[in-house]
Amino acid sequence: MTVTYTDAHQAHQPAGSGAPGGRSQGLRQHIYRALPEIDRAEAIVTRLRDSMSLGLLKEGDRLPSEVEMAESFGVSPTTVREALSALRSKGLVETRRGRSGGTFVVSLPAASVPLMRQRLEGLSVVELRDMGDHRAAVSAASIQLAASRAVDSDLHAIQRLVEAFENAEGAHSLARADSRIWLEIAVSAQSRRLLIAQLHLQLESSELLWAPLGNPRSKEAVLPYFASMMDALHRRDREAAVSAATQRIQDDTFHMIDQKLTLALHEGSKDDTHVR
Amino acid sequence: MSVEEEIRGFAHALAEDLDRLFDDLEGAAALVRRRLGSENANSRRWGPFQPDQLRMMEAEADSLLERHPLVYGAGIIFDPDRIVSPEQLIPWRVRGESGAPEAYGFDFDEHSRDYYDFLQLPWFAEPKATGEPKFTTPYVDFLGVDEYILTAAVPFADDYGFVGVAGSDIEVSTLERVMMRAAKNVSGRFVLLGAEGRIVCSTTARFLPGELLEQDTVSGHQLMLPTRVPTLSLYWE
Repeated sequence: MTVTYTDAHQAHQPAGSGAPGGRSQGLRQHIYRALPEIDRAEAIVTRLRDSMSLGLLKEGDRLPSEVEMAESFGVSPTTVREALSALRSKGLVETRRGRSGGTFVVSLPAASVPLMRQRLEGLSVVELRDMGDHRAAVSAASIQLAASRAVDSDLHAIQRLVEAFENAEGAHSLARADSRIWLEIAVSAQSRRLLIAQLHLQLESSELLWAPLGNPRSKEAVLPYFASMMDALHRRDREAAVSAATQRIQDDTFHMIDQKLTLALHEGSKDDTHVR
Repeated sequence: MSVEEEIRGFAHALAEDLDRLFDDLEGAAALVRRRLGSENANSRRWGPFQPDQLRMMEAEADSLLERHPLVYGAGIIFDPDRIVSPEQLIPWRVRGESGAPEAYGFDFDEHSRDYYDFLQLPWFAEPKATGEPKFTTPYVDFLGVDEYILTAAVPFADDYGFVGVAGSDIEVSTLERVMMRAAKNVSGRFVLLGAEGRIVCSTTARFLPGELLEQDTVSGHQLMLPTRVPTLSLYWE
């Protein structure tokens, strides 16, 4: 049942007659729903872990000092210490003492194959298609803007990331390298909002896209798209850039849905003949 | 068994489910018509409904949810011109987080910017105009439950005419899960289509849900589900 904004209708409604209500209660609740009860330390853990997942923080990177982080996150040093201790217990960072001491990234959060399989089984084809549509919308807008706004140093940065992707091996490295390219395109578009949208989309989709399930996404299949995108960006050809990016993402969506269908149709028991 | 026989087997099983759903919606519509209609026989506008009358509608919706795992939400939607109390327009129940039915809250603030303009929507307007049950094509319920759904609705009327519909929502994701389970036993790939050729779900990534199957460019087989009310069809190559 759809609820629509129709101011015209509302204007027709005589005062006091009681306009038919709607499911707008649902929307209201959505707007004013309680914020997640994640405390600040947890929020810092999530932020740092996500940054590691996307390769924004790499193995061996040194984190700023506790005092610096407390200042930039706007929290107390105790909260930062709490967050670092949680990351340490997950084995993601380690703290070394001494002159060259500090807190370092030691390993990256790896999404396990069973977890990826479970996630893919939990998502419906409709949801995967919708995720692809969202990625296509955000990425097309980003690359279109990047084609007109990127300066040489931006293009070099993207090019270097494409080369890093070419050299990447293994699902996690490919996922991170791929994400970094899309994020850099949003950076080149000079749009903080598109960057944030792309960040969320990459966190949601990239491990899933590159998951080594069944017939994994091939790096070789993706490279020609990056070549066309780079070429279009260099020529400042907005249409060609959008077209290459969109086709690439359509291919991704097709791949993920194909993986999902293979899992759904060929795995598990075949004796479940009942419709429900 | 040939692929076609397997697909026909699936079509019949799903058709039986949907027919049972329409049976129950007709039952709910008839019950509301009988119980509330007799108590409101002397006026064009029904209500305001008493607590026991509201509970009766609630119980009908809950039993519908219980009997039909496909269904996500159910209830009665009255024509705003036919009832006294606008806050009783849509006694609606949905599956809660735990799976147990719960009331779906509505905002009846007449000054609200969110106007529920359902009068023109197919699940309401068509049964109102034709007196026939309706099964819609998938649509995004964008200010409501925020889901991608199909709606089945059955109208009821009294001596003054159309009063409202008994309705139920099916999430496309749920229908898809049901289809996938059944599709394991079908060796060919196939597509479930809604009205106007909109793809509801499919067992091949070549056809994506939400897109329109371009009927003139494809050359496969099509089979209407043998339901009493036109519902879905199956397409395969």
